[in-house]
Amino acid sequence: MLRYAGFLRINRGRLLLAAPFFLFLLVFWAMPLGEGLLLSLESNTLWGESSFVGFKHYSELLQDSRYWHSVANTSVFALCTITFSIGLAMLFAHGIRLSLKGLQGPLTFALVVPGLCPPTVLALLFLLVFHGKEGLLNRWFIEPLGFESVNWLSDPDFIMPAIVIQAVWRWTGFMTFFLLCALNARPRDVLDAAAIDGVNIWQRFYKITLPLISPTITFCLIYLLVDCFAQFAGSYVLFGGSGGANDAGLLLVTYAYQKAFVGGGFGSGAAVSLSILPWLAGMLILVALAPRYLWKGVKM
Amino acid sequence: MRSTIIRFTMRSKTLFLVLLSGIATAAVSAESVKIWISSQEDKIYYDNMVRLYQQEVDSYFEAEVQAFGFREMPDKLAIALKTQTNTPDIIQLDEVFFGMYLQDEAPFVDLTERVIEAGLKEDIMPQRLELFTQKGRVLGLPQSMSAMLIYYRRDLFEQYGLSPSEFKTWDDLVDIGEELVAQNQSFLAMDPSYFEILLRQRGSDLFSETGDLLPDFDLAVDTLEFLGELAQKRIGLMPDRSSIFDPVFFGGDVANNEIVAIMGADWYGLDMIQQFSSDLEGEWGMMPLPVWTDDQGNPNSVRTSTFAGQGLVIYKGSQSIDASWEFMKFVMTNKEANAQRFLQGNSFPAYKPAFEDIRILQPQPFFGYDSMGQILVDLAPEVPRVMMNPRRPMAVFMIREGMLSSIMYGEGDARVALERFKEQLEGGGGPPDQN
Repeated sequence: MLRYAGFLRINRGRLLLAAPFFLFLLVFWAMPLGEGLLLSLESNTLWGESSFVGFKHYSELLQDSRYWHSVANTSVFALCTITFSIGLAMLFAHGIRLSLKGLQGPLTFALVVPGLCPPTVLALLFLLVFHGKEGLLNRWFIEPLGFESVNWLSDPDFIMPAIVIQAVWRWTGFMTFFLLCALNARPRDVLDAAAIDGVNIWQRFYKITLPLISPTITFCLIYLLVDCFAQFAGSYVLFGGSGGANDAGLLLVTYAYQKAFVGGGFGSGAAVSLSILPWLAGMLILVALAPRYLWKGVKM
Repeated sequence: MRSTIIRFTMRSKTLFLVLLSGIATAAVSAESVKIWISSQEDKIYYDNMVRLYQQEVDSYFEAEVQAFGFREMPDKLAIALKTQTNTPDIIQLDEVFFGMYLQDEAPFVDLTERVIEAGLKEDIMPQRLELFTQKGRVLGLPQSMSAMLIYYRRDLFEQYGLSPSEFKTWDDLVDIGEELVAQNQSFLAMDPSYFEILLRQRGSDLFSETGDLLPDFDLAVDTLEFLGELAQKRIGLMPDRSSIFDPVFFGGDVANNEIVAIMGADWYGLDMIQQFSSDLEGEWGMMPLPVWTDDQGNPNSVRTSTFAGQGLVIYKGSQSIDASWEFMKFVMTNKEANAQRFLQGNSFPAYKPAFEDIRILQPQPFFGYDSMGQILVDLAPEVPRVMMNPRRPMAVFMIREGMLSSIMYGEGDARVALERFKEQLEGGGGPPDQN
């Protein structure tokens, strides 16, 4: 007890400084999360008193084919978005580094702009990009290549590619910016030593550059993963809160929205929302641990 | 000393004025009826109605009319009711979303006695009043007839030598449609809502009175197959965003003459068509839906159907139930209020006495001097009933994007799609139960 009193006396100033953060965390994170958890354990009464139903909504989700469909869709969406965004960002970052010094700033800024755009505005813009035969994507890319125009927002085969394209377009520039910073921060002497020792470009990239920038890549992966699992505004504008034809674009948050606001079941909706946590946590752990195993034995 | 006195007097005056304005605001806001409307256009109408009500009935009546988007309003209402915060008194709610509140005790005032006393039970079209009725209790007043018509392009009819009288049956429509396709012209704009609309025209519905989903399953399959066939033959054209309710994009299809006709309710013709094709004034006409026929070719359906439409309900927790009801009654029964609702492009009233208003029956220049009022008065007795069900909002939602459009894109067949739809709605994918 005395030990704690001593700790408090010594660290009073630090605790006082940290207090706003913890207060913020409590009010804006812990309390809503707790409230959401309680909601998911209550009956779906839209108006009036709710009753405690335990884990009923969660067990119903296990039998719900649309829920599993949304889990699969969200995973595919996240995987594709991350793969293309990081891959393209890596290419762009190297491209910018190779470009003229004076161009690097404007190029980076131009790439970052979509990431600064509110998702709703971006989705409205993409309505024009994906719009039927007259859409920009069809006019500028699909038809000139000799293909038949695609109905991106109605054809179930193209709905998932459409939302992936939208997400990739939004985040690639932002990820390029982060990776560019990481590439520029690599210690020059290590790369020079490798070059002198005759290490080829691919080995330098895989054995030296990637381990060096892996903390930044991990950050990018976590950022994109969370954004993909929380994706709502973009697909809401494109599909009006539905999952598109054949539920081809039904994502987890969209399904939570449908449960709560179309089906009138706030309890079930909260259960879908909170069920995202284990999926997301599992993927985040994988992402965080991946570099340790990928570059095992590489010491920097 | 003098300055101190002046300062004190000034402070007292300021304090007094602040108190007075506070009391006045409190007094007004306590009586002010909060009305939530689901479109900006309707807000203008309701603002006018509040003024008219003040002039004709109660000069002390105060109302705050707030407009939200058609989709945003039900979301906002659900949150307000769930949290019991910032709740409205009167709500303009679409019948599709109304179903969401019928899962258990509805949060709306039982208006049955008031409706009977006001004579509205006889004066409102019964099939429309039933729409807002739960277990024999009237919970809302329907604002529109929502009768379905075919809106056709007069100029294109002339160009292809067509006449509305040729479209007596759906078979006629298919035959003529095939001839147009041969000339590289689609006839009808398609929309997933047509499944429900045609099903209702044929005497069935999404739900039975006892709540069974797709009670006549074979008829549902036949209807969906028919629509799929229309689209596959290109007689029907799926708009770019698979919906005729997306004015920005669908307006482009209309402007490009990609279709000759659209099937839509009265409110669609009064509001949406006039918005997205205002430059086609005088080029539109109206006709009843073609009828369905039996194996011998005899007509066996009505000439219209119905889909969606707004109604007015009063929130149960309202502090101004009486004032809200009086205003609602006024809007529903006042001659001017009914006429203005039609003339301002909101909807065709379901209030029978309004059918005699000359302003409602007059020919409309936008529709080439066809009288929508007269056509709808003739069709009114044929408007089918909508079977309300708590699962209806989710069913409509799933149909809108998930089912019909997939058939049109060649994904599976109608029976399988409907079986899957049924399974999903009856299983966990539908609206949750209340336990």
